[in-house]
Amino acid sequence: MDRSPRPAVMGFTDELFPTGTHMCLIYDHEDERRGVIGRFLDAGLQAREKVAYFADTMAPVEVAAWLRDMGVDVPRQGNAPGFSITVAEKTYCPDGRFAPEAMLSTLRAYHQSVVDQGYPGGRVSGEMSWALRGIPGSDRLMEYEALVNDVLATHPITAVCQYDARRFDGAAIFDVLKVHPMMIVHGRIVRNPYYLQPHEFLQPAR
Amino acid sequence: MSPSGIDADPRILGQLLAAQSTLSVFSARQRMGEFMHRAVEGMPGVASCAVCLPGGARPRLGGEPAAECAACDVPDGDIDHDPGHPCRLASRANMRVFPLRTQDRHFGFLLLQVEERERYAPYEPFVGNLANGLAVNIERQWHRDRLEAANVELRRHRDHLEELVKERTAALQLGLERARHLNAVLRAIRNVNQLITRARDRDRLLQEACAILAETRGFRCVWFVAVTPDGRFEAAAEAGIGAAFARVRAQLERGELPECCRRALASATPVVVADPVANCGACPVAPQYRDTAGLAVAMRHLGKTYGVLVAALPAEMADDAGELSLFCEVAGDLAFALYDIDLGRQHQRAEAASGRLQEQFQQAQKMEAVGRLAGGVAHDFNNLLSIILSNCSFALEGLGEGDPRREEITDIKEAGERAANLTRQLLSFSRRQMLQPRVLDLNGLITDLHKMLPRLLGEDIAIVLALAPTLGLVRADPGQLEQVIVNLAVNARDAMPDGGRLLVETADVELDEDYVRRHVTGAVGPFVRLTVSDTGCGMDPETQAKVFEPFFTTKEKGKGTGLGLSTVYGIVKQSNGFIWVYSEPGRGATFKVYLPRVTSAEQPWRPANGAETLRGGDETILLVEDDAEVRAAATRALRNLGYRVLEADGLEAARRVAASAAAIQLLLTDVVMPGGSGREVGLAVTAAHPAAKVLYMSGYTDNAILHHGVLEPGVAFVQKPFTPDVLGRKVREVLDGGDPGPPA
Repeated sequence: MDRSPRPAVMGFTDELFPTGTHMCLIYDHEDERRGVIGRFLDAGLQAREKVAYFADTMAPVEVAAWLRDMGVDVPRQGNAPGFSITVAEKTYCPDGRFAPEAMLSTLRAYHQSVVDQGYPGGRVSGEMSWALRGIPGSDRLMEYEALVNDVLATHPITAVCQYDARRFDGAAIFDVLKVHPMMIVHGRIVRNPYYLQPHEFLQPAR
Repeated sequence: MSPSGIDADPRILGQLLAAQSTLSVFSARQRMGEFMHRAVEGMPGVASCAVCLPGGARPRLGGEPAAECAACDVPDGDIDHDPGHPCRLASRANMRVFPLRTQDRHFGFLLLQVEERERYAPYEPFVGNLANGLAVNIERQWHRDRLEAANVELRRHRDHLEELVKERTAALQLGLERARHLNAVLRAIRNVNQLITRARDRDRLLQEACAILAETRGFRCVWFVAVTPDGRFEAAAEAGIGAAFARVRAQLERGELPECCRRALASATPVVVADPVANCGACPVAPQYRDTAGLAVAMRHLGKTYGVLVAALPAEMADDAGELSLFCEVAGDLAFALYDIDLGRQHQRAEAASGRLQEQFQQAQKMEAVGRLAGGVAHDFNNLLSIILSNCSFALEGLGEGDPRREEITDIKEAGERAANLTRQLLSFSRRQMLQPRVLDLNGLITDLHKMLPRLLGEDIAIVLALAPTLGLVRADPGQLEQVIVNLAVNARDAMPDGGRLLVETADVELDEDYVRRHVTGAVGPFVRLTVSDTGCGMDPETQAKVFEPFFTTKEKGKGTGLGLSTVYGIVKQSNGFIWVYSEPGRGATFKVYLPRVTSAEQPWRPANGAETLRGGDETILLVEDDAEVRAAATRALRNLGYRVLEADGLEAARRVAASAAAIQLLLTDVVMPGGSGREVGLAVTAAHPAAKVLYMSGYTDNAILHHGVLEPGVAFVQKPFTPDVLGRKVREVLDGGDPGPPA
């Protein structure tokens, strides 16, 4: 099985990035978010990749509706073998608590399904505001985000984590920067100079 | 490497750069402050930091300057107008204070409490840039907020504008609807006006107007009720109701006007009935008009009410003042049309009456022409007949009873008498016969005539008299009136060749204006009516129209003169009466003669006893006559009776004779003579002989001694042609009578 990254079309920018790129979208306007994410998902579908979306502020049917409004070819039933929209909280916290290891396994399994099902690639995007509701384990979100980088290195799923700058406080947003090698700022992908390798981020503070 | 000789940690620089890249994501100052604080806290050589953003985040310094920082009294929420307050910590040696300032605005400070200057020094420029970036982002956000506010305001204006456009569009739509409606209204008015200009029949006008209004005005139904000036139902028409209107019509025919009509007739303005179903309970068609309004207006023109116009229309239309006004206008136009139709009918009636008058005028002209002709010949003709009849009398006197010439002369005399009768009839129908009216009782006259009528009519005709027991008196010439009855009886006889019944009736009647209007001629007042009816063959209308014309006859040639009924007509008219005939073919004929009834103290005239012996005398009579032969005949007749006769052929001769005569008891003078009339002769002779009585004689007087054909009171007259017997009796009557002098 070829797990090596290859260039992928992001949709919202002309620049190609390797599959397995882990990006954070820090946004302050809904239109900005929908513009970036819609194009990102559409590019994946166009490339016949396996695409998954984890919705939190909107119900899956609403997400499907706005994607259709944007012209994205979303399957009529919403979910299909190559495309799914699920509730983020159920995806990240299937047992009512957040366990980074479990979610990382889910990512690996997802990648495996991509490979097994013959998709040329896979991409996911999740709304992270579920983590603000005090769900047990949600304080380990940054730990998870740091470890995702390791998983994606071997299981190259292209991922965009969505952080609403109106809901996460400034300090939390600053911490998000530490664990995402790429930032999407105003629709452009910025290489994050502040990014810390997972082991650096996770090493105990001196 | 920095001036201090300490290299900057790339990880710290990356931290600052990442912070700078990400700052622009935030729009809330709170979030910016938090983010900035996290970005710079823990930097090498920095003990604590603060981001002072009044109105936004104000994380305070920690450590030693914390108290003083916390005591800062720059108020929150004032940054838009803050000219740039000083930070009281700025002068402290261990404080690095970065103003968060753009060219135009000052938002706050980034404060670092530096405890190890050397370690911090390499990052100073990056921190400065970060502070500038934060200021720029704040200002950009500040502009964005204002832009958003402006957009909100703009949207508000746009929404308002859209509302205005909607309102204007709605108003325009309303205007268009109104214009369409007005067009329909104008079309209806135009159609109604076209109808009005050509309508000549009331019922058709009302029916077609209903149809036009129902079709072009959007009325659910329209109906008219035409009424008389006193409000009685005359006619009705409808459109849009159909068979159900029969119940309204039945109500109208019973004299029950619907409530809306009664109210409209009593009102000067249109009556609006808001909900006919609820408010017109007694109206048979009201239940059909749910969700409508009723409208009723009286149709009036020049103060006269012709009826009511009623319509059921959509309720919203009934509130429209313009609609009401136009509805009234249509009602007014239709009232005018009804007025015009009335006027047309009156005009037609007047024209018909005028036609009848014209016919009567033409008839009168014809009579006048014939009369002039008759009058023209009558004078000379009567003189000739006087000579013939007188000389026949003289000749017969001179012949013995067995003389064979006697029969021939008698034939001549009878022919002369028929000729005299014919002349008299000619003068009668042309109303130039001299009348000697008397107050008389028509019943008495008829009773006297009744004795001789059977001989005249024959045995096959039954004569029935139906005389009024009490009958008013009339003033007429008895002889002429006898002539009227005889002529009508003879006419009846000729209409009943196989026998029949003649009915003669009399009655007092009062004629009113209605009768006069229907018969065109006649007069209002008391009349005595003579009715002569037969059971004969009757007449068709064409014959009736000509029956009084002279020389018109239905009898075969030689059997009638065509003067009988025209004579009747002339005598009746000359007696101030009038005559009507009623007849149908096969159903007989009835002639009705109306003579004015008079009230008089005079004793009704009775005929003289014809058996009285002719008496003469020895008085002196001056005879004035221009015709020598007439004069000779008269002189001989008078002298035969013992009178002394002086002769003159005209006025001058009369003067001379009168001047030389010792006494003259009677002047007998012709009326129409060249050189001086009988009147002038009378005046001249009576001037010389005041006791002389005057007796006029004439065949045709031409009003010389008459007033409209009637002999003036006190004037004695003898009609030519006369026989010696008639002349002798008249002379004796005048000499024995009162004192007839010459006319004044």
